[in-house]
Amino acid sequence: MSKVRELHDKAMELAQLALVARYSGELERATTLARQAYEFESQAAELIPYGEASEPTRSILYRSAASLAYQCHELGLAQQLIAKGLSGYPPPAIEQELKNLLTQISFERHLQNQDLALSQSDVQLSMYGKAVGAGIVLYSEFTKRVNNFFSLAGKTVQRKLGRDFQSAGQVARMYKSFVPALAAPALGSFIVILKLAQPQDPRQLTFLVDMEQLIDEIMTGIELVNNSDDEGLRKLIRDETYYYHFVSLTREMAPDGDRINSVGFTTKSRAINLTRFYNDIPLIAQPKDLPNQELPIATIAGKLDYAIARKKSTIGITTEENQHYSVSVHEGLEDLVRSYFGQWVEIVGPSKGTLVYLRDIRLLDRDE
Amino acid sequence: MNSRADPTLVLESLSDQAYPVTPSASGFYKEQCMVCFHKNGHRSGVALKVIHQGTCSTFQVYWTGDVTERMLLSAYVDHNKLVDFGACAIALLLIPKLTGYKVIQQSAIGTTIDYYLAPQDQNDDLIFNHAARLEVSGILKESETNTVEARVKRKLGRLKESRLPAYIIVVEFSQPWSEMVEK
Repeated sequence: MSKVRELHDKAMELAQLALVARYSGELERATTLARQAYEFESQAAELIPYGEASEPTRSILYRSAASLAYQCHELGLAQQLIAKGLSGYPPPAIEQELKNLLTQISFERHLQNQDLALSQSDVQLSMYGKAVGAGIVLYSEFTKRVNNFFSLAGKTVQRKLGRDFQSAGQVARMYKSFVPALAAPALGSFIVILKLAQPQDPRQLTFLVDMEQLIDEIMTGIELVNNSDDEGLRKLIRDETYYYHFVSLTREMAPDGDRINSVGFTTKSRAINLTRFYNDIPLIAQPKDLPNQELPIATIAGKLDYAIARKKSTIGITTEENQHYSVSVHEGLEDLVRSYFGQWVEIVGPSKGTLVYLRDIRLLDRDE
Repeated sequence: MNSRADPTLVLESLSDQAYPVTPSASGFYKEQCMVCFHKNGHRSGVALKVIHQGTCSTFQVYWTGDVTERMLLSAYVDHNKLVDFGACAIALLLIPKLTGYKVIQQSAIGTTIDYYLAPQDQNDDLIFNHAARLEVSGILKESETNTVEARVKRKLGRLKESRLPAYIIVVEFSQPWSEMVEK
């Protein structure tokens, strides 16, 4: 057996053990095994001569070694191995995977940065992906996440204060425990600090909730959505309407895997990398007021329209052919739907005549 | 399917069928696969339809043992990845039955492992130079917005620039059925 194969096989045996350990919750053991695997795999990669004829084996081995270094938290080493892989002649697909891994690692290094001067009511929002450049981001990708985060924070305040879910109308002053603010983006990426600033008006301090606790609860919820821990999230947010609201807005902030690959949230005490893709987060399992009968599933593309709204929980959609449909919206999803008003969307759900019970909604044209 | 191919997939045989998947990894994949079937109310012996090159074949999937509470709890750690691991068990058993490939090559990618199919047990150092890529994905239960067809399409899109030949296998656990596409 060739030396490369011998080293690679040992690495993969250990990598498999690391994988099993990680998913069995033995994180320390997983890290140790990944470190051992990385040592064998990087040796295997070093034995492959530089040159076009060595591809794709050379770049695949470097990608593998870098992945193992990443798994054992050797982020600097992982970056060096990626650079070696990219310095050869990687085929386009492997080159892209090496670059994706590099992006992921750079992102985690940002999240690990302990020099951040975050206060207890700050959340650092970072985004990586094709829609993000050095200090620049597509406006829609940015505003969508910022608006949804503040909306989540506002509803979390109301829930913590025991208020019933308010789907429309002016929010009473006593529930406005913070003023949304932004700190200037940092250079070199697109990172901003979202501030839940204290209101100036002392009358509002009566019902002030603990901002640190509030942010921590939002972070826990986002982490649960990211881990697909539906049961955990339902335990955290027992009220169904608040639960749907939380899922719908976290889903809106999630990466799409194309324009945005990762969305990071960092506070003074913890960091969460929201990596679950938008498409993988189901919006709603059982639409509201669904009649007790088997209904066909309709997919309607059209423009969301206020004008034909009939009642509070029903909105209108008009197709290109000028066909009008009513859409029944589950309580808690109003903020999500509201953010799409006037835009072209695709709506999916059981339908009866021209009434569709909203199960999913997607923006059709995101190019702005 | 090769007409003489055995139409059974035995989860316990994974480490024998898919060298060099170790017993510990194959045991792990087997457990995730069992959980995926269990969550859809299926038991050992469940029929799995496989669509490949325009033909539909049926395989019986067998395993021993029951799904335990520990297995179910572990499925909460990362639901999406675990369904993919369950699909891996099926894919790695289907490959030798539906293709001429017998040897699996692995490499680490991110926090998981990806698979390549080697035409023969090569002895030279360039172990991936003649390999085909294997892309696997799992769906616990299809929905209007999460379909096998869409997953295959997405995988094909991602492999658009890949010069290596590739096999895509998407496994759906509720019906259950699987589609295998060659690129």
